[in-house]
Amino acid sequence: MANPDPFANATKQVNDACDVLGIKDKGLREYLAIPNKVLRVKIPVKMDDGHIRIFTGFRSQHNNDRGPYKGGIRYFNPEGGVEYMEREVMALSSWMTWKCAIVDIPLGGGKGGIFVNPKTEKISEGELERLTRGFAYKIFEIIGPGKDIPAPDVYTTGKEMTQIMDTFSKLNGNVYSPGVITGKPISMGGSLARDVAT
Amino acid sequence: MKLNLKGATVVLQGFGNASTFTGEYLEKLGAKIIGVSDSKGSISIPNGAKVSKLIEHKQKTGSVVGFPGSKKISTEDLLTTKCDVLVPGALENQINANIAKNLKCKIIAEAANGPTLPEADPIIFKKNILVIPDILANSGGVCISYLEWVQNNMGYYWTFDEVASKMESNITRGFKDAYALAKKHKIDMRRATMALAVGRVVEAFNQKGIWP
Repeated sequence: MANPDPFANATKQVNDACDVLGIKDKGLREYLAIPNKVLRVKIPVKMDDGHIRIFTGFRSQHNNDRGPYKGGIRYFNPEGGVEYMEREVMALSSWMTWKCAIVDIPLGGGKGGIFVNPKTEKISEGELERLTRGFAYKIFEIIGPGKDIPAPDVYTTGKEMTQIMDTFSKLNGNVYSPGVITGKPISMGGSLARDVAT
Repeated sequence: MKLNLKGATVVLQGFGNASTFTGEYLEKLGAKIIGVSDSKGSISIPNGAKVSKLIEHKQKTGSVVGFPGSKKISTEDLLTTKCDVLVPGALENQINANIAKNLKCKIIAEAANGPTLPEADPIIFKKNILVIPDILANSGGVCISYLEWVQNNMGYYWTFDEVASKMESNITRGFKDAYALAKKHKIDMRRATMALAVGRVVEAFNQKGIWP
């Protein structure tokens, strides 16, 4: 069975909302549905046994009209493969735009991830850290406290957030930049009350 | 709109983070859990159970199934239990048209992402069940992320209570705005929520225009 296209679903919801609002301009509808930018990166990692493994990562930046892009980074391997994952992060970045707008926080929508499943694949802590830092390096130019602020998502935790923040800060001329990412541990600039929020 | 949860009955589908948090939160407001499920099955607990006791039982036996005083039921029976609040907090695509027809709850709080199929929405709306759609119900995560970012930017950190109360006011305001829009256009909460969000983005876009 072919997976339903999650991005088509997200687009349909945008069109439904436009119907309610009486927005008829087809161009405006497309503007609202399609992400501003979708970046796909290759992340080479030297594995513990010496061989090189290539991973694929994504960052979809949907809309930043109300503020910097915001949304999680997931490490997952959906059934539909890499191409499906791209559609999925595009859809999820769209939902982040609407989520932020509903609760009226000054942020836009983003989402990203790496096609990898750290729960089911044999991947060591060191390999995972090299992968995370490699990804942070690849998306360095498009993220930042005033640009795009990732967060934890499926199978990512405060640990990965710390590594991304550290990589970003060092690449950024050693400017301490806790605001580049959220979901950090308290000692790394995380917030209290995260454990009661879902 | 007024909601008094004292004595309200709650059914939780799923027993992960989203549903146990929601359950404990509703419990604090005086509600009672009368049905719950996990990957091993669903149970009905007519006399009610504390979330903490259910967690304890799951930790001991690996499942909520078999909880003292409970009866094993089907997923469909769980979702269509007569209750005040149904919390689908497990998987996507749980509530189809068929289940929607048989729902006997007053409120659906979508703790999971996409638990309701589009075909079910009009049926639920006709039955006058209030839906708190997923993108609103699970916006707590992005609210706390926003507040973390604000604290990072100012280099000054709030207490637990300060953060929690700011987060609650964000979500409550979102709910009230969407509810008002749903009433105004006589549409369901899912479409109202999306329309509210899209309208806000369009407003910002119109201010800036297109450049370059």
